[in-house]
Amino acid sequence: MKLIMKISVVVMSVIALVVAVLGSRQVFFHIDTDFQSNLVIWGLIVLLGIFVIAQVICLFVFPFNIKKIGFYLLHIGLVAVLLGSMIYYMAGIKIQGAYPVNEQGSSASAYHQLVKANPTKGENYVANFSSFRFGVTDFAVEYYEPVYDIYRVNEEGVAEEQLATDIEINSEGIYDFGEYGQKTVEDLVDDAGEYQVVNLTEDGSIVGNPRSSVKSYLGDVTIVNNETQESREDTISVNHPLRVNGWKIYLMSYDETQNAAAFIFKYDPGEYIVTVGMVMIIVGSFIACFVRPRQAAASGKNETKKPGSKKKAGDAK
Amino acid sequence: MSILVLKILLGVAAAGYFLSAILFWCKKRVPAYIANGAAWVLNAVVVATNWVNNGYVPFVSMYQVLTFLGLCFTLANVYMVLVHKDEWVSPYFNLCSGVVMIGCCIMNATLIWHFVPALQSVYFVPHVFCYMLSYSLCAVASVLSVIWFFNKGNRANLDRGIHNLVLVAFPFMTAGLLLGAIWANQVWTEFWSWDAKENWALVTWVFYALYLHCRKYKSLQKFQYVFTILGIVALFMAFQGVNIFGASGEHSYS
Repeated sequence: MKLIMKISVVVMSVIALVVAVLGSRQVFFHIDTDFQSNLVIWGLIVLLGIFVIAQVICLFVFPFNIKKIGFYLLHIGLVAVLLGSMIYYMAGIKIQGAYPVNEQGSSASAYHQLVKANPTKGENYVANFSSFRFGVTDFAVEYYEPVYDIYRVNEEGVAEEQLATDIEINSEGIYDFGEYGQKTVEDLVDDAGEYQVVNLTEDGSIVGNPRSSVKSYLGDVTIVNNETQESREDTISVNHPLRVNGWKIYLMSYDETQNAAAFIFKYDPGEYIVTVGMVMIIVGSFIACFVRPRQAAASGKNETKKPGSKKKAGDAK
Repeated sequence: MSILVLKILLGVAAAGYFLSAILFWCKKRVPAYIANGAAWVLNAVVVATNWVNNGYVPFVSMYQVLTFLGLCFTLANVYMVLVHKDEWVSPYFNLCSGVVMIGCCIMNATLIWHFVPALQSVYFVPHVFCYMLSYSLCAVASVLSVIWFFNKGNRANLDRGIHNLVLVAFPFMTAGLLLGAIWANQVWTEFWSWDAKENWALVTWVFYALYLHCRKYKSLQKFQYVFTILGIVALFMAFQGVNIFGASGEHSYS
């Protein structure tokens, strides 16, 4: 067992080293690794393979003990995560699509690009993907009220110095720019209701720049099953992907100028295995670290008490 | 409350945490607990103000997360004292809290941060909370690991203290890492994107796992504290280094 433990420690150390090298390249040199084609991924897969084998041997060699349930959950969970990830790597498909928004939900001018496909069955994605039709009937973007930053600008209008930041609208609907006065929303928005850059001095040397961010994207979509011709209408937002015929549809972004929404369609047969594996690891780690130490602590207390009690006994004598 | 007032509160909280650490070392328990409690309340006032300013849980900017990290040190300390009776680690928790508070004082504290759609998830709060709790415990474990190399007389106590800290930190770190992965599958389409923050978070997790494995066998025990110290270096890279050096990736707003 010592040998398996040592092998596990060596493999884990090498994995940490390899990932640390990748992380250092990203942080210090801003170089990302292309995991679809780079040899590094194959090196990691080999290491992970050895890691999985070592764990499976551990699971079988150690006699079964229900008190080690945390250990089992954690290590079987790790194997499940790696297995599920391998299934996705081998059989997963990912397609990126841009859909124009129209009331009919027509996808006639939708643009698709294959992002990732099964390397051995690359062409089959079309057959899988054509099991349903997808279109966007409506799309809403909600923004937060912008905050204003104040800048000193030069004659060309280029910002030279930031004088204040994060000036937000108050409860009376007024932006207070301090020594540069106050502005109402009506002063700041154009005819279309868009917040504009505002001159805060007569000579135009001090300006206020609006900075707004998106609060929510919400798309109304229509999905038609090509086999049954059943139509389904649904809403989609960031963080809430839809599931259709084994595919998962993600809303990624929205282009206001094109009035088109970007989606990713993903087919991942290993997803449930990975998710279950991750839950097993979390639960297993809590059981392994919180339940077992108490037993160890209890036994440890007994060990430390024994010499003391012997001493007392000796003193009594 | 203006940024200046918040920074003054953070500065006073830092002083309170440092004072508490000194008082714990001087065996003045009651004043130490009072200083710790007062610093924690001031720290909590800043977190509550951030919460009110945001309108939601204040985990959006690094400044907000660090102010919350200050609270976690004391929470973790209370757990260690009540469950493991390890009161001797209290000054180290306070010392780390004080350092974090100083960091909050000198960093850019933009008050208004908007909750972008990608962050609007049920996984957001548990992901950050688990990480902050584990980071606070790991920071103290790493300080004790450094002391372990220089203090040969008290190694048994340090050994037990570090082990107790990592045993609590590790499952929370695991939960933070994997809840983040499950969330990433909901929002970024992949469980794992190999971006800089994820890579360093994985390295950190593996180092602490290696520490726990090395304790199992006597021949490997000589390496255990190498891994807790390497772990804190990797943790720093994941938590701060990626932002400081401006690495690109999915975690651009964290």
